Amino acid sequence: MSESTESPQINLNESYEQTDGQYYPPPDLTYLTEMADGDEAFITEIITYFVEFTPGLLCSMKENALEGDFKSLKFSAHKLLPQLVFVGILTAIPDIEKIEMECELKLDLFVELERAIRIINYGIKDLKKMI
Amino acid sequence: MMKILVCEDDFMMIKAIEHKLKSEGYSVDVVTDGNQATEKVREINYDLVMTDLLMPFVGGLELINTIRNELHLKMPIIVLSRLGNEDTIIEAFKLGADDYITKPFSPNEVSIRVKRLLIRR
Repeated sequence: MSESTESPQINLNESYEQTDGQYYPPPDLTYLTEMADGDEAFITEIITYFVEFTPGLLCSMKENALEGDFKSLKFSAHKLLPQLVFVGILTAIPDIEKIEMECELKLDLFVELERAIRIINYGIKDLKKMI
Repeated sequence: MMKILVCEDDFMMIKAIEHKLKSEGYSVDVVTDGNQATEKVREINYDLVMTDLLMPFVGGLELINTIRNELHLKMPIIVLSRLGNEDTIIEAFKLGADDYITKPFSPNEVSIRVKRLLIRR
C-alpha cells in the first residue's frame, strides 16, 4: 500500500497476500469516507479503534461458540455487523449475519465463524497499513 | 444551540453520530447506558433524544417509557436500530418514539431526520 498523507486510498490492483486460496477484497472505505466528510482524523480514529479492539472481540466470539454461549455470540455478532460496514470489510457480513440470526438455534456455525474471522483478519491487516 | 442527547454504547456509532451532529451545529451529549440516559433527561432539557434499543442496564424501550410516561417530556425521540428489529421498533413507537434510523445509517439521513423533528417543535 502506498504511503500517503492523503485520505486512505485502496489500490484495487494490488495483489492480495493470502494463504487459503481465496481472494478477499481489501476494505472498501467509501462509506467511512462519506461519513468523515473530509475529516481524515475521523477516519483514522475509526480504523484505529477497529484494528485495536476487533481481534479481542473475535477471540471472544470463538470462545462463545466453543462454550455454547450463544447469547453472547449473538450479541457480539450484532455489535460487529455495523462496524464491518464502517470499515468496509463487506465480504464478512453474510457470515456474521448468519451467525447473528441462527446461533440461537444452536446450529454448527463454526465454518461461517472461522471464515468470517479469516476475512476480518485480512481486512485488519490492510487497515493497519492505512493508519 | 439545540441540545441533543445520544444514547448509544457502540464506539463507532457514537463517533459517527457525534461527528455529523456537531458539524451541523448541535450541542451533543453522549451516554453509553440507559441509567446514565435516565439521569441526564431528568437534569437537562434536551431538544431531542436519539437512543439505541440495546443498551446496558436500561434499554431503549424502557428509556422511552420513562421519558414519555414517567417524566412526561415531549422532546422528539429517534430510535437507532438494526434491520430486523421491526417488532421492537413498533413497540418503541407505541411508547412514544417519533422516528427511527436503521443502522448503519447515512449521515445525510441523520441530518434530515433530526432537522425535520426539530422544525416541528
